[in-house]
Amino acid sequence: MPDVVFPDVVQMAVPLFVVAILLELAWITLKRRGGRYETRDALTSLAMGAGNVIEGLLLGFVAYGYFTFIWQFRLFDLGSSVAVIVLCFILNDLAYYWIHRFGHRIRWVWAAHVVHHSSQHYNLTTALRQTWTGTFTLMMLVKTPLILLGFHPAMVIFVSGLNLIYQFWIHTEAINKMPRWFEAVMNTPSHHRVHHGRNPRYLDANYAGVLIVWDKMFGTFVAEQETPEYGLVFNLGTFNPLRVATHEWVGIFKDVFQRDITMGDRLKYMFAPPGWSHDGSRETADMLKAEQAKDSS
Amino acid sequence: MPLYLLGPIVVFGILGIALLLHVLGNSRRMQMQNAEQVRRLWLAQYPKTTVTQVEIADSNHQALVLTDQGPGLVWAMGADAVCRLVPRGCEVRETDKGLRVRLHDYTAPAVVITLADGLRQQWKHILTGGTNA
Repeated sequence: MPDVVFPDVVQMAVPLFVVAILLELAWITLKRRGGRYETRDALTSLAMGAGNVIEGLLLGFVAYGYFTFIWQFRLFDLGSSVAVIVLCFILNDLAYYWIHRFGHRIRWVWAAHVVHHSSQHYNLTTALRQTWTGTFTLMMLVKTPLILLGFHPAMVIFVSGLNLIYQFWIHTEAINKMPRWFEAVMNTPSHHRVHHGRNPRYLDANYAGVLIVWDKMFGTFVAEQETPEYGLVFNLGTFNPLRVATHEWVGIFKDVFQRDITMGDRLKYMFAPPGWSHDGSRETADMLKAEQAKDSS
Repeated sequence: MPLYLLGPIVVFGILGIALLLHVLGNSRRMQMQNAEQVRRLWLAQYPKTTVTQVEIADSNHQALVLTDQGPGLVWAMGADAVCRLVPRGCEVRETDKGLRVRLHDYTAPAVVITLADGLRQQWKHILTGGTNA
């Protein structure tokens, strides 16, 4: 057991989320700039956030149980000094980068993550528009090396919570750019607006959680230039939270169980990038980006 | 945080924010002012189609778009809009105020269109497989 108790920081941050949303709304209302709010869109986002908390309460034991199980096979026990917590935070952020990247490149994982991108708005409520089905993606497996290296499961969950809280404030149009040094190292509202843009050149870019340096290291960084248009390539025509939470899973089910396709096609409908289709009738982000590059050359 | 505190904060936080948003006038739905606006919305979603005609419904919240790939609908989703090509076999039902179109699409189950009496049959004919606006 670690010699310190790690609190559930996400639950503790809930009142701050509410206050920050009210402040952003006040700013937008008074200044008449810095973003847009729409009642039903925001209500859906907040309902998704509440559902995500409930999912954590109901299914959080799956990830925690897995982490606890593999903890017995750890190579080291790094303890819980401040330096170790900081190192854990940084390595967890690297793991987050890859989980997030898988979330956009593997349809099975996208089926959960798509929820977060399903609003046509970009404000602090969008940050709370979170999946209800994240456990089913099994992306907790990506954090296996952290546990095996000797970071205690409770510490990994703690820094994951801090990572999530950091990402809350970057979901805003009220902040244009941060100081240059900050933009160079940290994920910011500007960088994350790009990530939420449905403009072809912004697709599959800026996966960072806290440190934008991962995108720069792995070649997925795109700077904000044109104004982003938010939402999905194919936007939803419903505010129903249940449909928002499950629509891509339903899409996978329909695609996988259609007639007259091969087993390979069925697997690709589950694990190929979103937009892949056996007959070429749909477009992936790569195809959309290639078309845009061709049009603009 | 104990659940007896977290629960009320979440519930009253959501309801309070929603109420405030409504009172501040953020529940207004998008108005489609002219055919050019509808055309731009449509082509942003379906850039490879050619729009031949646009008809805006009485409420200005929905529009019928005729394209080289068949009829489509553009409708307000809050302050924004959503577009869909209308598939063959969709169900179109007349209501007191216009039409209700079931698209058999899990991501966009139905569109409610406010339409005057005279136009309902015409739109229904087109949406269920006809050709002329």
